[in-house]
Amino acid sequence: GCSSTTSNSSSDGVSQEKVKWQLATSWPDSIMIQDMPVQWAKMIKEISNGRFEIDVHPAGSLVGAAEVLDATTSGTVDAYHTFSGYWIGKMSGSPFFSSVPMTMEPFMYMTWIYEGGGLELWQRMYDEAGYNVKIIPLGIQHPETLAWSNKPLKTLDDWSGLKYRGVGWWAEILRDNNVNVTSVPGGEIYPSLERGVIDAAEFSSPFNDKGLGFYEVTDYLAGPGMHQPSTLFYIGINKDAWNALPADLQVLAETAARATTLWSWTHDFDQSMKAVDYFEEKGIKQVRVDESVQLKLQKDTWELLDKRSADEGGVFADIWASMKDYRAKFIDYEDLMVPVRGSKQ
Amino acid sequence: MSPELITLLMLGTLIILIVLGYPIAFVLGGVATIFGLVFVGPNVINFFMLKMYGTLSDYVLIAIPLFIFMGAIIEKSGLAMRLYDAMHILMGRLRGGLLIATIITCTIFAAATGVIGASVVTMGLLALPAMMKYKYDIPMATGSICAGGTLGVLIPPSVLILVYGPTAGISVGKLFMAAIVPGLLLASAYVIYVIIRCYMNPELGPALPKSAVKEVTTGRKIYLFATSVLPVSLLILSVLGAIFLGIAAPTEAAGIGAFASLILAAAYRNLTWQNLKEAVYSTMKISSMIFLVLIAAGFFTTIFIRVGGGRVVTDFVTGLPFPSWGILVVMLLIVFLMGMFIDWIGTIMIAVPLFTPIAASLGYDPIWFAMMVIVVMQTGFLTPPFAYAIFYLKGIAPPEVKTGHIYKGVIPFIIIQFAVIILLALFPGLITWLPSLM
Amino acid sequence: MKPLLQVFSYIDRFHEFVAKMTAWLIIVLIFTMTFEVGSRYLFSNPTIWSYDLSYFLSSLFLMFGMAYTLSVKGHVNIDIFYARFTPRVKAGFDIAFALLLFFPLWFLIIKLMIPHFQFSFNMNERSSFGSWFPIIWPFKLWILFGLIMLLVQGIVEFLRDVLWLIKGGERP
Ligand code: NA
Ligand code: NA
Repeated sequence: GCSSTTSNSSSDGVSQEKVKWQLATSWPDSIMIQDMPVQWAKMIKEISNGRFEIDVHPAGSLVGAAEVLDATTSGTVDAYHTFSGYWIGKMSGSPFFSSVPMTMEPFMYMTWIYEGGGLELWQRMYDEAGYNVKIIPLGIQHPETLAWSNKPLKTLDDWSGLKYRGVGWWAEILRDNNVNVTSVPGGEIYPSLERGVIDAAEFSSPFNDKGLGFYEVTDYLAGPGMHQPSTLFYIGINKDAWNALPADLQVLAETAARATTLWSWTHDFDQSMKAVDYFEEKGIKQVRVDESVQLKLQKDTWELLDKRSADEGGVFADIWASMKDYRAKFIDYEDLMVPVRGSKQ
Repeated sequence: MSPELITLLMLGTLIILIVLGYPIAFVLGGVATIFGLVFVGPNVINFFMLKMYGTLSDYVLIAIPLFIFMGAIIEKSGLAMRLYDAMHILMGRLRGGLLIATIITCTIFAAATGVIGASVVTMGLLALPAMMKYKYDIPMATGSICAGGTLGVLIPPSVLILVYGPTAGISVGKLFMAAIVPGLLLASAYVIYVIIRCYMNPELGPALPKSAVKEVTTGRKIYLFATSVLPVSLLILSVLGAIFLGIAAPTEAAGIGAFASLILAAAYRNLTWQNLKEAVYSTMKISSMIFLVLIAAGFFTTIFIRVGGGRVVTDFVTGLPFPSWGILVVMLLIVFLMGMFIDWIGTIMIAVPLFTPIAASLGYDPIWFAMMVIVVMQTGFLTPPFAYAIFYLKGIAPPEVKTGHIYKGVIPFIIIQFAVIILLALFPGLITWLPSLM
Repeated sequence: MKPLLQVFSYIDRFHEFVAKMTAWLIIVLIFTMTFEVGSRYLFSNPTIWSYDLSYFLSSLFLMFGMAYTLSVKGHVNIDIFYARFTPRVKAGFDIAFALLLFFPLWFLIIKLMIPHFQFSFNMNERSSFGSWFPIIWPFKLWILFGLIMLLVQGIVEFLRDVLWLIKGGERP
């Protein structure tokens, strides 16, 4: 790796190694997702008293957004922060670890990742593909905005023929339901909506969407976030750099990642709640897609993933089986334990 | 070694080796390799590979070969000659008429091509002999051609803006729109200057004798206008209109423009096999050259940031004890000086990622700042000693045109450039108004 | 010497042939773009392949043109001082620069890209930019070919400069 390690002897004679890492992300400095690795690096530096320092570089500064994995596995940079679904061309199961339509909400997802074998499967997928990286989850968001649109989207008829911006498995599922899906890049969504190049678009959570101003060019905000019931991000670390890290700093890196993940979740939730209030003030009307549509699209998603599992087998099938199994148990347990919400006042 | 020293050494080595004449792409790549291997480690070559994949799959940059092809076809379509002939007849009887005709033709040409070479060379072959025949002042004539030629990199489409946009994270479409008013402003300023100078001193650009200008009827004038200015205006409007109205991304608009230029050339009966072949081959050569510099300059910048040079430059600029407009002037000055020693792609790739965030933190509008940098760079194409426009013109001018003539000729136009830059600083709306309508 | 110069000129001509054949892909690119916009606006039916196809096409003629562009001295340089050097000094500078700046990078990048290409080929890596997801390793393969041609042309130019240094006068 190109991490630099220098030895210093502190006054009590204990060797205090200093470590400096280079981390590349898939994000510009301007969006909140970039705060996840930035906060993580800041926490690590403070707690380690400057012993462990991580330079966080936005997309394009050292390497492009789509090149962070290749750069890390070769040790060109020490680590990266991204969204696993970007690697669908390298590992067909990679979206399982960023978001799966109509499948897992954040609490369920995190429980599966940390306690239910999800993280082990995640690591296994990258290992089997030949990548020399260690996975640490870092950052999660609540369900995303399903669509910004100029007409209410409740029924499948409303969706039929719609020119909609969407990506990944979700795009495939909608195409089979007569939706005209295109993959407009993030920065082009606003002008495309404004001039009717597309009728509707999803991008991120209400908090992130607010910064991009979609509420200025549309009338409706549609939920629920069927396409991304949660969005998970992660850090990939070059294994040689990881193994060279002193044991206490390894613990620190993992612990700080858990703390930052919790922060990102609650922060995004809180800010998104406020964003939705703000949109309401600006006259944006809220719509919720009919439950029958949700169930139909869940059925489609699951059929697609069941079929892929049967075709591909291996780690893909193992992940999907584990996810479904854990989800079922989680729902049963919640049904038993979580009380009704009752009155709000 | 301290980051400050490495930064100085790296930039110094780069400039010295470029000035010694080795191809710029190889110097950028080679210097980055040496400094990367010494100060970072053997892994740095990976950066080069990743930069190569990233640059070659960048959708915005695909517009570069397309616009170059469009310019080449327009050049070969005989359109410049038609335009110039029409202008010659319409303006010839005015004092300085051929100069005005040259600048207007260059401006229209600029809106159909993305580089400066095409218009300087075309006008140098077309307008310069005519002006010399009618005893126009040589510095005035060559200065107008050079200045008019540099409009090609400013007025959209512009290869310079295509590289600038993704590097600064700004929409190319918006930058194209932002460049229109400054471009037309400069063109008008050139024309006004020429009119005033020739009015005061007719020796500089004597009005053509009656016998030298074809006597034509108004109907004929309209016909000339309709078959020269009109088709190319339609072509330009289709490209810019498609971007402005959001019908097509700049890359797609470039594709449509290239397609339309083929139709235009065919309509003028100049779409011969020979012309097509030459356009295809020259597009390949120029684009290969540009992309190699893009990849190498991107690699250089990555290594420069990786060894800490980015931080050094940022700390230096932001640490200056100046008000924000003073820091702005320093940044523009650095861009101007870099443009003298490193070519434009290198200048953009090295300076823009460092200066864009500084300008934003000082509260300047990103599009306005980008356009100020671009106009400064365009001025650099005109400013001796390292000035592309002058090199191109010297290459094709008759032997009695000395480099000294051209140097003398461009000076007033450089002063006009600076006047317009100050105007753009005082009235930022000149830049930001058009893109704000998108 | 004669046979050596003959080999050089074969290599020149081979690179010229490859560059000029692939250069025509720009026409295909233009039609692809025009078709995509037409298809989207006239039939409201965007293609899923035009995005990936466009950079496949452009990367082909860009990479395959680099060696030829080198052979005709088409890579931009600033020759204010260079133009005034005597032939032997020019040759000397070119040789030194080639050894210092050209060969290390171009040799190392090819050495790096071969295993990288194999990795991509073995996993049958796909593009993940658009929504077409075509296999991406051919893109990496022709970039590698382009680089190898550039290195070979660089070696030819280097040997020409060595001959030039020995003989002086006109560059062989
Ligand atoms: Na999304
Ligand atoms: Na132009």
